[in-house]
Amino acid sequence: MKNIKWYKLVGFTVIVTVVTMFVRLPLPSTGYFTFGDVAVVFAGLILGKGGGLIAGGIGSAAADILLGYAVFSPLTVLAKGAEGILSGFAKGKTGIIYWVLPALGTLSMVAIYFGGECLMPQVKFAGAIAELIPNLIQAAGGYIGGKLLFEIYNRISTE
Amino acid sequence: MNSVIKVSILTFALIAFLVTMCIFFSGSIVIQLIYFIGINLIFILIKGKKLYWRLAKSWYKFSILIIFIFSLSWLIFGLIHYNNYLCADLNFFCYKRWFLLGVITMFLLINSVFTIELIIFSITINDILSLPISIKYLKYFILSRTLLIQATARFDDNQLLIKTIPDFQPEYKVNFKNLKILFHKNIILALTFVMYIDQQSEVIGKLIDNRIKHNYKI
Repeated sequence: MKNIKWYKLVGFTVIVTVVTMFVRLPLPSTGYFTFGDVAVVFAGLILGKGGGLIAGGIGSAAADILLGYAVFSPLTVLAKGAEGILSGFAKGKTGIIYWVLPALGTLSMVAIYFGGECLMPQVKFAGAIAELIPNLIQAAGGYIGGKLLFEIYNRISTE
Repeated sequence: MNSVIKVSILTFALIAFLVTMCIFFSGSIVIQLIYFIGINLIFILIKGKKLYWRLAKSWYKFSILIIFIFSLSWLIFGLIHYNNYLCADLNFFCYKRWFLLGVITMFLLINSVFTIELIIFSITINDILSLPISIKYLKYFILSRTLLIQATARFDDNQLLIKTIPDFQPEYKVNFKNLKILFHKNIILALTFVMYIDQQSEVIGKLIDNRIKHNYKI
């Protein structure tokens, strides 16, 4: 965290916000897949655990506020922060850790959203159940996309 | 109004709402209903119909889904006769209790959404920048705001840039067959944002550091 420049951290936080807000894929069934989780996993893999926590948590919460989902923003800080921090632990690692930790991160995001929404008096378990499947789709897409984006970015950076 | 006073009042209003409506009166359908009517009218009057409908469209759909799941729960718990939760019989009396719980949850959700949005929309970035915060921390807000404005303005250009790639030139219909190519297209779109914002953050960040060094002697 100490060797990350402050503007790099702000930059990646804004990347998470902007990607969450603007990059979305309509699904064949209904709704959208937002690329916010892709950006959170990517930010974690680039910045490490501290940077992943801040960029993921604050960037996603800012997007929630700007998109009209402010009621979920405290929960988003926790869920996406956990996703970012666990992905960040995989920074610079190879082998199984590199593959497993970001997956754990995305799954922890789903678990925190589910648990948190069950406890929210405005949503309760009914809302949490309704959000479970979309969040699982987000997690799977976020994991695949985040790693893909990281690989492409690394290839471009080293060229 | 002084930004310190404004932000303090709005923070107090948010805490007051959370304590009263989300804790003390969270089970009272009458109070939730009165607040629901009030907050909807206030939101339309202050923020206008356009913004109201933009928010209402998605949140009302979600709240109807919540009522549906409460009704489904009544059916499932009734069928398996799980007696420890709320009311577990397949009769109208039980359904009324489940439905009521769903309606209260719906009111609470809509009330929270509109109240929180009303408070947040009332705080502008200029209010935050006018707060007596040290430049050491204020620089984070200044850079975030600048990057956000620049990145938002670049969105159309980035999409145009993606269209120059031959693979992404056809208009793909949204179906399972095209999901992979559409996903790939959006990954590249995300990458354009990453490259642009990463580069801009370094340039502007160094400029801000330089200006702080000369103006604030930090």
